[in-house]
Amino acid sequence: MGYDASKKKQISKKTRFYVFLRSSLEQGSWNFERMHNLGFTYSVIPVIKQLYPDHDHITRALKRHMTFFNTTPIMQSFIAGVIINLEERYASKQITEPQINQIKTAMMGPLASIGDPLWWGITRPVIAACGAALCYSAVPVAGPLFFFIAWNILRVSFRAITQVVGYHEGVKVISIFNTGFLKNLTKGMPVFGMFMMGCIIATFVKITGVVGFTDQITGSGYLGSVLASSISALVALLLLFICLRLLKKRIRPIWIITGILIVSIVIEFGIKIFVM
Amino acid sequence: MTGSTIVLTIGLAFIAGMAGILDEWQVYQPLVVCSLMGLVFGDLQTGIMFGATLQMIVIGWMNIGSAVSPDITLAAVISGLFVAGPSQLTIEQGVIVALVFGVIGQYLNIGTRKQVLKVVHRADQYVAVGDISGVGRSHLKALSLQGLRVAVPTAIAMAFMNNSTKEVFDAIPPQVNSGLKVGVSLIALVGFSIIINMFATRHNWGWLFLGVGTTILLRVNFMIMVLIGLIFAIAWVVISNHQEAKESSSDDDFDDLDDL
Repeated sequence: MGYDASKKKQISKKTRFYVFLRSSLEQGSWNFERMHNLGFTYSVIPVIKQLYPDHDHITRALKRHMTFFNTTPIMQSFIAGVIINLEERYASKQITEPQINQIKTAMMGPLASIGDPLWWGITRPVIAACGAALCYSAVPVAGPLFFFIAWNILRVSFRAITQVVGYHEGVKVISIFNTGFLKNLTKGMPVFGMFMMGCIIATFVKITGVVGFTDQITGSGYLGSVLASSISALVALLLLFICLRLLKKRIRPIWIITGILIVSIVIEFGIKIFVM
Repeated sequence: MTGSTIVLTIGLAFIAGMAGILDEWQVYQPLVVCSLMGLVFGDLQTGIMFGATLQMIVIGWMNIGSAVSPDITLAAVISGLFVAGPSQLTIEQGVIVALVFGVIGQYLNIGTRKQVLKVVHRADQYVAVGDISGVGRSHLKALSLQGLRVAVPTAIAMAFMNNSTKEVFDAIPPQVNSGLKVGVSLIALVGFSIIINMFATRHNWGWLFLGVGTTILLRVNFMIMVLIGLIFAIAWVVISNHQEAKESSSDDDFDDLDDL
């Protein structure tokens, strides 16, 4: 079969590029049983094809990657890079088979605990808010374009870079988890997240009635608009704390939303009838 | 509606459905998909403005772990269709449509994810016989099921959509509509509170208030606020590291004294 295990096997750049291309389809077969298992297998198929010419090794490789896998999708490339390195070394008989899945499992939890707040809690909301703000500018089309382009530049370059780093460093990447960089990131993320959420609340929640009301007393100069936004923001913060309380009580967000809509309609109805 | 708009809309719905499960390109986010829907119906401006409003409402809806949140994709596609398409609903009416289809989509999403499990079990059989291309095909089949999850309801909605849709919504009394207008500007707070829940500790609420305050006082472009936020966060990390280093070094001093 021409399969010589004693020779050092190496994955070509082309194969690694195919893995990178496939990684953007990783969550396609998301399932409740083993989550991204098939997705991960799908992304490393080019590696399996290049390393193992015989049927037996292919079956075993597919089997070991079909086990449970779950992490923040964008962080998966880091793991994929390491796995390519490990598969290479396994094919060259430098490590044993269980070590591959051990490293995979060891990486996915910590990466998700950084990746979820980093990508879903900070990067996407902030870029989306920038995009939404641009929609109200002179060139509204800049909004969706900025969101799509900025997000994908960050995402694609992050995937590309982490896969390369993972591949070159191999098992050594585990030491990255203990460096100051990650410690600083987990320290800075909540600060930046809370600050940005404050900016987002002040920018996007405008309580329309209040603004009209304050305009009458204060006029529309700098101080007037600051006062109007302050009152608007105070109402928003009050409502925010009610929402947080309700979320803590495990009330589903969709019911809170429905509640807010009903209360707004009832109040508006009441005011109209009262005025008439 | 011409044949090409129908094909483009369903095609867009299919792509958005796949993007929704992949969560990579973010095409399914309202800002993008509603703008594209506007483009399909020749009303880009309306699509963008509706997309921006809906985007801020769904900004905190995220799928983490195995929890499935209301479905942004179906919500954005169908409401975008009703706002930018021939029904010409207002933005507030569109948001109501989006909320309803968000919940419907959540159930369709859970159902589809269960169907996908069958495909994954089929893939297990391919694995057992070492059929590598069968495994790859299974993955893509599962992905296209997710596309259909949005494309099929969209096609059905288009079939039932006619001029009476607008009439039904316009029959709503104006007080209800103006109440909705206020409500729609407030419900974004629910999404914000989901994100805040992720970061809030007992000690960092000051940063949120600082964000509100600086935004109100400076009144600058939002992107400048992002820069200010980054500077604050980095400065805070540097300062607190410095302080920790100081504390630990003073601890060392005490240790030295103990040694003496």
